[in-house]
Amino acid sequence: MRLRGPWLAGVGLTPFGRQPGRSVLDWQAVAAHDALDDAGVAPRQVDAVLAGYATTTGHLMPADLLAEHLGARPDIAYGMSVGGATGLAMVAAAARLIEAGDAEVVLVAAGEDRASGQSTDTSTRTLAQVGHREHEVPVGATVPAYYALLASRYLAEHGLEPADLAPFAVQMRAHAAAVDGAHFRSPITVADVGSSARIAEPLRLLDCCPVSDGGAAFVVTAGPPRDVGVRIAGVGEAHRHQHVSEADFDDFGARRCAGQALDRAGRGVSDIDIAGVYDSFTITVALLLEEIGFSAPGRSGADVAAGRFDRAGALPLNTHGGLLSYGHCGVAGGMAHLVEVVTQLRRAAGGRQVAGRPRTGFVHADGGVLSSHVSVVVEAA
Amino acid sequence: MRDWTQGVAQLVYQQCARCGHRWYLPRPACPRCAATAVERRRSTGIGTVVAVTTVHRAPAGGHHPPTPFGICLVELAEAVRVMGRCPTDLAPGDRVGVDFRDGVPRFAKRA
Ligand SMILES: [Zn+2]
Repeated sequence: MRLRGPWLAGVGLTPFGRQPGRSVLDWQAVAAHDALDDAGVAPRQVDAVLAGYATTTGHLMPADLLAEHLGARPDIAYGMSVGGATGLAMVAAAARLIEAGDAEVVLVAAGEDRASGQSTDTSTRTLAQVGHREHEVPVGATVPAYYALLASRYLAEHGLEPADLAPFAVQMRAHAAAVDGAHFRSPITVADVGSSARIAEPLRLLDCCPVSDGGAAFVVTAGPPRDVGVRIAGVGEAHRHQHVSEADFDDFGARRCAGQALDRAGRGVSDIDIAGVYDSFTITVALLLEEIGFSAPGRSGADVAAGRFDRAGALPLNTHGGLLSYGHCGVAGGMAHLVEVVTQLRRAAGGRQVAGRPRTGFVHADGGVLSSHVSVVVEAA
Repeated sequence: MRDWTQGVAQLVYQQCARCGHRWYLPRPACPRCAATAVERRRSTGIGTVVAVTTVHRAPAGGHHPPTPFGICLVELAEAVRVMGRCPTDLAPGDRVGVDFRDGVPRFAKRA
């Protein structure tokens, strides 16, 4: 039987870090060329271009801008913006365009000079605008503060301490140690997390991802790729609130989003061999893993401390180091998880390749304050 | 009925005249049933802390007092959730009341 696509035929990922000198368009183009080369596709063969927003430029037409720059002449071009979930939302849209028969070759790209293209203060103020303009932002909240509120409620509900979230930061750093191109690679301990600078308690500096420069891209095709095939088996989304003031803390949207993607793939959480879950903060990945069902409520920190999410554990998670250590350059940050899962499914991860033959991967991202959710299930053919 | 964002020192929530749903962030129509018959009501400002953070890093040029300062989410007695500032000694579960000394909602423990 010939398996159906859509296929993730090409991936591209640049190093992340503070890397001055490239513009938004440069980062997107570098990643796009890598993904096109990986897929063996020329820019003129692309019939849809989907590009993510960038906070440093805010161009009105990012997909047209990138298409012109690359020399693509697509029939379809969308700029997209759903916060940190944008990258996976573009992959989901690409899969839908292909399933609908509207495109054969879709380029998905994002990149940003988020670290070196603006000051930290400007970046923090811009990102805080995911809060409500009149009723939340004037209180003085920032994105770390919004997530700190979620962490406060989570720790109180489960009778846990801030140190119970720290093992996520430690595990992501341990993974990044083996990854060229990661923003941070020096090992850290739970004690290091607990003695790092207070940002918005209970979150400390090492509970928070860095701000990086970089880019990522995918080529999604209707036809099978030339060599190792990874197909998109299911996608799901959920968008249930924008502002933390109106979030349903028992149903942020992750469970229904993941359930939709898994159902479409004919899979359950126990079928997943490798995962990439958004980890903008330690609390983010804890809440997502528990709501999706990869860990019992209140137990994800204990699971990561016990090695469950290690490269050699039962469910290898963010084996590239995640946002917490590979880094976070905006939309492309949430795409790096999928690049890594595809690389592992292709058994092309070299020294950091997970053991066994991973066949089914799951990737999830959120945007805002657990506001937008997208899940993608991928299978090695 | 104006609220603290419009210069009047009070918390105002909305209630749908058709389905009874209540909410805080203002809209012209009910987000549950879309009815446009919506009442604005004054809250007592009394409630329970759901979550709290002490902010130590805040950007220059933002809306905030000198660091460190507290931010909390409070479930009001009227069953709507509000974000405000607070002292740094609050914990989830504390009973609090509101004032507007900073020009924004500020919650503190009730005596
Ligand atoms: Zn209603």
